[in-house]
Amino acid sequence: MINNKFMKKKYLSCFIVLLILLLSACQKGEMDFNKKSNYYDIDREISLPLVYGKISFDDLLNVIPDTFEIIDYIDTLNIYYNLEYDHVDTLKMSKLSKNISVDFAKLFYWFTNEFPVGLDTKIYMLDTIHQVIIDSILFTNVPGQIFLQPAPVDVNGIVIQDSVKQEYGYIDIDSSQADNLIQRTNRLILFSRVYANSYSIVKVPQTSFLQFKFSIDIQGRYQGYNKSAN
Amino acid sequence: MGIVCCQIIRAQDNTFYYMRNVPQVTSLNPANQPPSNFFVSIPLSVIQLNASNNAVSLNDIFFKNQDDSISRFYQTNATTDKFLSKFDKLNYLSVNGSSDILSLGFRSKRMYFTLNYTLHENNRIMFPKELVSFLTLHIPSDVQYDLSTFNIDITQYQELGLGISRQFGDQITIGIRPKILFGISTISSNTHSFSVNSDPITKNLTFTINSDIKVCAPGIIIPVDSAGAVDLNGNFNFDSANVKTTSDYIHLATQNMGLGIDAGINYRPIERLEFSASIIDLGYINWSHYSHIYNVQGSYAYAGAEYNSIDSTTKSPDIIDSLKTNFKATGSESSFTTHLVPILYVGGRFFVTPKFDVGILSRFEFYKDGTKSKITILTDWRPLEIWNVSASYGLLNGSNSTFGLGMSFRFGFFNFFIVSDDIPTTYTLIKGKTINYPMPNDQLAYNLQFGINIVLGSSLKKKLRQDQPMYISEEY
Repeated sequence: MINNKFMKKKYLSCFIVLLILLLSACQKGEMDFNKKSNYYDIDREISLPLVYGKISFDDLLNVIPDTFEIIDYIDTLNIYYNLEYDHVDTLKMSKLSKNISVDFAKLFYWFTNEFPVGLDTKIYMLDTIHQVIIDSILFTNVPGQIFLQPAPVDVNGIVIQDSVKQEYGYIDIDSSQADNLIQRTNRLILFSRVYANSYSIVKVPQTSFLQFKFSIDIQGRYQGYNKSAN
Repeated sequence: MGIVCCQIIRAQDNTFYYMRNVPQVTSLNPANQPPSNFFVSIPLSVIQLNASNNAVSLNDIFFKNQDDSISRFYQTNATTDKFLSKFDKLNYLSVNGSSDILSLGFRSKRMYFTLNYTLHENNRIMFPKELVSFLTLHIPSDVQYDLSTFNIDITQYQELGLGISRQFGDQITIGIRPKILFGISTISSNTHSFSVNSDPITKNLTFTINSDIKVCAPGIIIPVDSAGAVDLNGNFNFDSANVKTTSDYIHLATQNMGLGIDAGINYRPIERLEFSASIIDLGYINWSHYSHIYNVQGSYAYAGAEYNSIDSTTKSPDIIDSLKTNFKATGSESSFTTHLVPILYVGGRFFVTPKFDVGILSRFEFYKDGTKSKITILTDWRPLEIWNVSASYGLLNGSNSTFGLGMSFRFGFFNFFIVSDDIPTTYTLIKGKTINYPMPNDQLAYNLQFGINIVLGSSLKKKLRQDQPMYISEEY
């Protein structure tokens, strides 16, 4: 015969001890969520499409500079005088994190240009504090070659739309250029030169467009404190 | 680990198995006979909740640094890699719940009858590790993520069960509970292919999917176009033309029927030893009204933000519109069947004293593509007739061990119980801004079951007085 009072006390004690062990003695450390770290150390290789779009002739009308002259806007052809046009603009660099380092970046581009004007672009990185040009990104490294070729035209100066080909290429941005861009540059100078073809008069069908797409391959690292992250 | 589509699994409840003072213990073994001669649950008070996944616990999301500061898993390569390493090739996330709208039972000599009307809610997502990798922005050029094991399974159903348990002599008790199941709604997928490819040249991210979707949403009219495909631009309207009266609604809630059965046996060869076995949730639901089987196919290439020449801005494409345009769901109204996941319990317990026993319980879940098992050591202590404590420790379940605890009280006519199969064995104390709270370590599942019953005729002493007026025993 089991002594019930004894068994009650014995097993009650066992259970209390067990519960205390399981419920209170199993704490493994602590975390202070008031001390959230904003330190990041991540590297990624990311390959993504960036932007694509289409610029029509009507879109261009809004930004055509004075050096161009529209002499006919009634029928389907619009006529320009052949002039080389340089456009310079500056762009304040938004404050990029100094904690980003880029191992390599490739900016891929695709253009289908039905306009009989081409474009060459250079980007200069400027340090306005020390008044020095730190570095540059040339969209083509071949002297005399422009970045975006004008559309081919026939003997009458009319764009041969069937002959327009898609241009594809990429711009290599090496680690040094990327660092200069991210770490030191506070203003960009965008230099654009618009080239017409060799004819004195070019004629652009109103259906013409410039189609473009940009993608990027980038491998980089973010290492440092990001105060805005928390 | 069995991961399955179109099967409905109930939550973990091993600790509960031997809590014989709780009337709902009959749900795991219909042979069990509660000590009370009559019980009825307080409507909607008996609730079971379960959330689990197979991969990460909270302490895999937060990391303590050497300077005591806290980082999240995505803040460093090391922690991201550690986080990713937790995932298996195939993973799941499930959230389940059930509630007894009403359950009652009564004893009649050697027999015990129970009736339960229970609502069940089961949600499960299966996903490959590649999906997590993609979401943590591991997108190198020319990568191809195979996500074809991604599936969802969401089901709500009602269960009406009638249980009968009978004692045969002093050693054997056998119980059976046939059930009628009423499907409320379901959606489940069977994915044939699902991939995300990064084009090596254009860098476009192309999402391609081919999946069969079974869906049943009673009362909802799915819009179709002239070709019979789901018109995703159409309105999903309620079938107010055919569902007007209360009886229409009742019919709506009960027309997708199924059958199920639970069965169990308890065998007590000697007074101090009991073996038990039960199989529950053998059953199916036939979804035959407002049910559809669709094949969803399509491909969508993300080509970057779109430049708007009108205002010289860029905007991200409208993903929803793009999906509607690029993906087609073809199919028709068609009935289909989903199955419950049968669970087999086999166990035994030894009565150390009349009020304290230890046991072992094996639980086997039978999925279509495999069996998941768990062995649990259990102990049940009944220090007072009105108080019952159970504890369990999970073993050999292929992952982390779990500790469970359950308690049952009786105050007058009321029985209260609360059980959890997954009480953390270790935790980290989190210091918040105003309060401190524990964060379980290595806890993949959270589980809680509680309820209130009205019980009559539970007093053992009264019963014994009635049976044996000359002698009152507290033995067994």
